[in-house]
Amino acid sequence: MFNPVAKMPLFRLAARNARRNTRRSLLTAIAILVAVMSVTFTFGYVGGAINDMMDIYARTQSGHVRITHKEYPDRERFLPLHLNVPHVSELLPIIRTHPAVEGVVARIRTAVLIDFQNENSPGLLIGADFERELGYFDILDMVVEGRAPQPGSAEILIGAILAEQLEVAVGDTLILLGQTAYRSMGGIRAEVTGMARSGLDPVDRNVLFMPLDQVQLMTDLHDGTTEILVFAEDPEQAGLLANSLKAELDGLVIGGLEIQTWKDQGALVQMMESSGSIFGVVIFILMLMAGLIIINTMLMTVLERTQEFGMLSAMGMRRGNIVALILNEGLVIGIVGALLGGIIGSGLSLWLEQHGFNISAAMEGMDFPMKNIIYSDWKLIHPIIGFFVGIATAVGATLIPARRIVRLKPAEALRGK
Amino acid sequence: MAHEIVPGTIGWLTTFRLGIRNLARHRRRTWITATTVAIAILLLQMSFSILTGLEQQSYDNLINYQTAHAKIYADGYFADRDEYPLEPNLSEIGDLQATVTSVTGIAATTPRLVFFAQISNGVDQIPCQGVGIDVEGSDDDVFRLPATIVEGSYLTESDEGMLLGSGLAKLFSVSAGDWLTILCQTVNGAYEAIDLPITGIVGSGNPLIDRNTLMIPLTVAQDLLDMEAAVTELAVRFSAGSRESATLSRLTSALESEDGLEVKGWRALEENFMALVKMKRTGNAIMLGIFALMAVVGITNTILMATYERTREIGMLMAMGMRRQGIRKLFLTEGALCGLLGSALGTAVAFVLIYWINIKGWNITAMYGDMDVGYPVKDIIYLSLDLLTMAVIGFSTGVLAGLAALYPAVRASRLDAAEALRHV
Amino acid sequence: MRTFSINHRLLGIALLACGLTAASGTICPAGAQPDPEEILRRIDSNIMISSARMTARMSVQYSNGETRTMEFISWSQGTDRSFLEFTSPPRDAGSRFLRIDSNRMWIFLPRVGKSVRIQGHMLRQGLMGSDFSFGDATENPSMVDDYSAIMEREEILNDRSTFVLYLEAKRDDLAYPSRRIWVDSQHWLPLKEERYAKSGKLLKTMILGDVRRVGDRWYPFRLELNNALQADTSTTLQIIEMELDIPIPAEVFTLRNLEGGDE
Repeated sequence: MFNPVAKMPLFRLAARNARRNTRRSLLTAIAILVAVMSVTFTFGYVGGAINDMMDIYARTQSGHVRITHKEYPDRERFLPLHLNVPHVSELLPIIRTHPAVEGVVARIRTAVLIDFQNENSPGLLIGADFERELGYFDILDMVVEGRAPQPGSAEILIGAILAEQLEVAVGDTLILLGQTAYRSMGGIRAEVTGMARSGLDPVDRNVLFMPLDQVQLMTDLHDGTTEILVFAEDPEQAGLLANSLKAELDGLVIGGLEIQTWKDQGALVQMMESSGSIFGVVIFILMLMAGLIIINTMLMTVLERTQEFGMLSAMGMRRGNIVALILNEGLVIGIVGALLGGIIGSGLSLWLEQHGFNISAAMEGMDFPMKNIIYSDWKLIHPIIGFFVGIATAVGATLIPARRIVRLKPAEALRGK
Repeated sequence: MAHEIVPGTIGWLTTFRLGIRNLARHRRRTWITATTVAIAILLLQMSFSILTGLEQQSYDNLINYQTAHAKIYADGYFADRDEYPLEPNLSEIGDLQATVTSVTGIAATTPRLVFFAQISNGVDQIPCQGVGIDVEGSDDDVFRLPATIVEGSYLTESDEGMLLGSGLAKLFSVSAGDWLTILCQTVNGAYEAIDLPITGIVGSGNPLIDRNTLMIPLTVAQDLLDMEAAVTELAVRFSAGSRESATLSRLTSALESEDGLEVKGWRALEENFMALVKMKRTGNAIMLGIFALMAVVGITNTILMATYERTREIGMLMAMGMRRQGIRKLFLTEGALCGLLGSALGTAVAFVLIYWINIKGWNITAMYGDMDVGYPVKDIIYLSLDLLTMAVIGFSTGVLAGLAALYPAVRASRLDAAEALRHV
Repeated sequence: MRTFSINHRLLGIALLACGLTAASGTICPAGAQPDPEEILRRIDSNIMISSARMTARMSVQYSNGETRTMEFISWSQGTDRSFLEFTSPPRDAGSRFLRIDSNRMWIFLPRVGKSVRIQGHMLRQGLMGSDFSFGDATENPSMVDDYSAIMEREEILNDRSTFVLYLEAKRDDLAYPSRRIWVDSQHWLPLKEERYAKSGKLLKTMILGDVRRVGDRWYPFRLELNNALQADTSTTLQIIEMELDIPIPAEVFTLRNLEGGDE
């Protein structure tokens, strides 16, 4: 049966309607835009913050996969040097050739007593290959005064806050006493060539960096280290990488090795759980807000035009079609707003990802080269989620007022109440 | 009042009454607007409350379990505190406590004896911090240890036992009821060792406490270390509601006359922690900024639309002779009233909600635990109830809403009556 | 004086005990049991050296079966001053320790090249990873001056008849407030010593052996030390050769010697 009304080009009609009253449509679109933009950006921002935490943890502590002596993790609190990974110079090339490996670093961590001006203080000594740590512990980037130690020289890079507490300046000589791999006593006298600021409190307050070869000398760890950190091309595949390394390396070392992914190492899981829940709440509130402003705006837009729709009803338009029309209008404006919102939000997020936002200006006079820059982590899924949530909310929001309107008798609607 | 009554203008009082009547007449419109404002404000208040609550929590944790509000040491102790010396110490505690509690703003004081100890299970020996606490006396007036017991029970003066941090308990794989040996040295240097059962295990969320501390009754500690009646520090709690810096300076001046004492406020006791908090604040500020932006947009949008909707009405008023100024005043007032209504509503709901959540606390099962980076927070958090800030947020939004109404009112008032009347 | 009255009282008890035990046939030396203070004096005359130079081997046994052995030479004078230099293994050779009194100790490691004063917590650590703390290893107290003794019983230990004495510190500042020693009744040397904390809890056990005659004294050439609170290691000290009562130049106990002595 011929039903010309059913074939009405609702979408085009909706679009024309929207264009007719620019002010109203604009306001509505802006509300949707801001909502979607905020959601998109915040996802990126929160993602960036979480990423940041995990990233720092991986680079300074756990790697994606960590290789130690089999008994080391159990006694880790004591930083036992005699439980070490030997033949490191042979193991590293083997690990490096593995296709899933992006980088490998070997480090020694050991507790030392710092003797300076007749005072003894505890500290944590980290021996590392500074060049190879670029992109990982980034020790060279932390230097804020003086210069980094040279391999082959007994030189120290000291955490800036530790230096302050001990009243150590660049050029001073420190004596470090500690264990050796044979459980005996070892020591080294070295010159402080630089101060480091990482922005990470545990580092700046406790750590001394020295070239790996020097620490090996001091601790009698010939070609050995306390740990090897492996970084994967894809961190999500850490488990597979660990298994594969286990197969390759086990049997190469007497006493056995313990190969753990970053998730195995305990602290990360706790950290994720705790930050995850806080961020979850924040995102939830965010979505509520976004929904709120969209719904509220749509509600008002539609109700405002009760008269108009009453007119259409009086002229014979079917109820269903009126509802459809209203929905379509919501859709049109929604698409425009959500699309722009997604684009702008992504733009901000991407910009933040590239350049970072340096908040050191907000931090009274202290400069933190590494940590005080906030990055974002933009993923395509963010604007996509934002877009669909925006549209869904916009269209959904039109439903209630639409139904109300069509339930009115045309005469009432015309009166505009 | 000798007013020159200019036709077409209305006084503020009339404006006010008119505004209220208008709002009352157009219930639906008023409610939509007010509700939007209310919800936006509610969400903003909640997020602010959560983020500051976390920060507050960590301060509280520090104060309640570790530093109290201030500590009093014998002069010279603080500089060497990492060595856990037993001298110089405080010996005439009674008098000192009396002097301190007489200072305005001080709620309670308690003596503590902090010493270097090693815990052994016969196979492993782990160094840690030992603390003698005035169990049946004042310790829980200043500190809140009893709330942190996760296994076993709190100490009693009579029983021989210790409280052990959960991290240490895990290291030795022991539970309440197990015995461990404590090794230490008396003030003269003689070795002392006793076996003690674990009365309770402490989980405070504070890594220093959980992973490095054991606690025994003060008298047991004094006996162990041959300290007689001496202690290493006097911890002080300020009264709730007292101003921190004022009280600290009062305390410091009160003790200036006494020779050989040093007072340290809690912020000076934990500098590294404070640095951490500063860093986190900026991240929080960004989040709140985003929320505020959305709240502003939402509110402004609503008011704008509501006002535009009434362009015809404005035209009518103008046709009836009201001057532009009057129209602007009227809409400003209506907008502000509506906004204030909504924000009062939102703030009130926020207040109730926060209060309600704080009765039991909010369990987020989160511990930054092993990382040493992050807030020391237990699994239950409390939201902050900062009335002043809430009021400020509420009020400024009301003002914002008023201003939001102004713009369209101004625009509409510039039209001539006929155009406005024609507005659809 | 307190010690006298105790000794007199205890002497009486000891005599009584002797009388009682005689009836049950236990060994009792001819006449009364010796005065505990006298026993301490005899121990001191054996153990306390005005000066000595010795070469010794120290080995640390770990619960996993590993053993670590080091050798050193030492000079000591009086109860306070000693100087140690490790000679073996090569990685430890040249490490030196100097003690002037209980509060002043220094360590010198060749790689460091400069002396470092040992303070505070470090004093509690084991010397070179052994069970001897820095304090233990270099302390040489006079038994009779520092402790008052009570005779507890007689006992056969390793086929030697011994007197078991319980010692209480006379001063507050001795590291071990009480000890129990098994004194060889012929050589007047402790064959076993238990060291206790103030509460009486056992902290360390020492077994002495390889008793040899040196000049007019008996001296234990082997010492085994077990830390009751840290059971996964035990340390044995074996004296290889010893010279007693030799003149030692004062320069030996100086920082200069510690840092660059020719010996």
